[in-house]
Amino acid sequence: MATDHILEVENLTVKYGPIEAVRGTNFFVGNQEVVSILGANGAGKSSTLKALAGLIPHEGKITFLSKDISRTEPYKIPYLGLTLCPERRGIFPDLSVEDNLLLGAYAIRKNKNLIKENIKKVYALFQRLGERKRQLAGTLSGGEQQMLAIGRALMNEPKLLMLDEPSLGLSPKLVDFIFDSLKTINKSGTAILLVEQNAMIAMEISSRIYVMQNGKFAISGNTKDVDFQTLKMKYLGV
Amino acid sequence: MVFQQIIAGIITGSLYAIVALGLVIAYKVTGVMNFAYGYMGMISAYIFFTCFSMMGMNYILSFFIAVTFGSFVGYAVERGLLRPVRNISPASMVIITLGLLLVLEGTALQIWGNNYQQIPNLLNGLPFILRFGGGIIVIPQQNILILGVVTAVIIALILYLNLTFQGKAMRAVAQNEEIAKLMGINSSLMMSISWIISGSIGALAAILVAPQTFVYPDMMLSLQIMGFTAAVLGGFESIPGSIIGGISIGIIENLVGTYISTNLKTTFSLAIIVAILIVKPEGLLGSTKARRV
Ligand SMILES: Nc1ncnc2c1ncn2[C@@H]1O[C@H](COP(=O)(O)OP(=O)(O)O)[C@@H](O)[C@H]1O
Ligand SMILES: [Mg+2]
Repeated sequence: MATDHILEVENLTVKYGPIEAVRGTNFFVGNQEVVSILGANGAGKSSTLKALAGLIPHEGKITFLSKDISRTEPYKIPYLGLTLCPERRGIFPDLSVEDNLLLGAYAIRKNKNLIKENIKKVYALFQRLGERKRQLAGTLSGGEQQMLAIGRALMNEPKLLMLDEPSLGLSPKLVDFIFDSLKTINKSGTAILLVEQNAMIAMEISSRIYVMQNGKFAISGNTKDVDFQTLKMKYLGV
Repeated sequence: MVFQQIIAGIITGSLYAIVALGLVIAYKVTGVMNFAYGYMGMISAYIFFTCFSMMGMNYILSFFIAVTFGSFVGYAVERGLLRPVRNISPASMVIITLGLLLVLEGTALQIWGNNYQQIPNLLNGLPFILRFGGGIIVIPQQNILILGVVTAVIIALILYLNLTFQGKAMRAVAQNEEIAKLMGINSSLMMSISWIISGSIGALAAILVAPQTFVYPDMMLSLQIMGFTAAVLGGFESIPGSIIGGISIGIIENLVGTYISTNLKTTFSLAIIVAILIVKPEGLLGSTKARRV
């Protein structure tokens, strides 16, 4: 594997009984790169990320930071610097905003000072979270919950942040804000693997894209080489 | 007279409350209603009886051995009986606890027989007597002990769940196991810990109530039923709800027993609780949202 690849995936396959959701995909993410997996609903994007996070059974080889993590238990993955910000956010509704962030730092729980610093960083990035730190997370608006989910995923300082449809259900203005934040996060050194149905906004921040259809990549390449109109008509069913 | 009954109700109710708490913490984290709960505690009461009365160990040491044994039983039941079927057939976990109830009852009968064994109160001094206005209230020292131990357990549990990192991680598993794993939380370990806590609370309740009920295989039947009722009344997933539920039932039961009929006190109390649940089906402090945990 190329040493400048933080993540390398070979022949990834995910099956739900007879349904083959991901069919032998190959892809990689470079150091500090932003890469997107695009595709219509049901293409197999979330299954791909869940497999990387170890949450669902899969076949194939996943190498992260030169370590084979294909069989690693899910709860051990964040300790390695790979974090998934899940689809539909998955915040803990009955815990406070700050407790949600603290739990994001579970993998570095021994380092209290680092946790404090990281909480400050998250509040600097998302001021609205700082203003609501004692509030129960379940009472936040959709946009704030997405900020919380991203902030929580950053708490253990991942080398690679995976995000599953962060734009889902948000107003265009909030989507712009969230994606600006992703740019900032990437600039500070975190690589990003993004899954999106909203191809336009995802392509704005990605250097490369993979377009998924029925569990396979139909096209892949540098963002600037892909014609957005063809992409939309042929693969995203918009 | 009324005050005397209310105080007595609080004491009984505090036992219902910790049984409810023990049931609820295991339920919240692992999603299993444990129908063998009281009987797991009963085994620990026998362990206490064996250490203290048969082998002549001192009270405190016997107590610690029995509670530790209870925590081990909690661990073993979750790890050995429930976890293997957790992903195959979650519904059968409840059936397993029902089967376990029968096995534990039979085991106790085999080992210790069905005699009523006596264990003494730890505190046997003169009761406390409070005088005020025209009335007096008599509180046996053992009851002060029960109230003190129960209060300490409740406070410790609330502090653990709300202030420690591990306690918060346990609540995270209760709310969403998959997401908790994404945070790096070993959810299997948290499930074990929740049953260890639950098991030791069950043992504690059994040892505290044993001087009144005597030790025999079905000694925990009534406490288990009332603990379940307290948990249901509290919404089955709320810790404050379990406490309020337990104390309320204790008080209702004592008042009914005194002013209406001793024979009818359980029936009457359950009827009152059913009435409350008809008006407020989610329980006193339960949420209406359907959630596993
Ligand atoms: N838990 C599941 N059980 C069975 N089929 C599933 C499950 N999750 C997803 N699928 C199926 O796998 C395919 C891919 O789903 P998913 O990965 O969620 O797609 P995407 O995230 O691109 O919308 C779909 O056909 C979906 O119905
Ligand atoms: Mg999806």
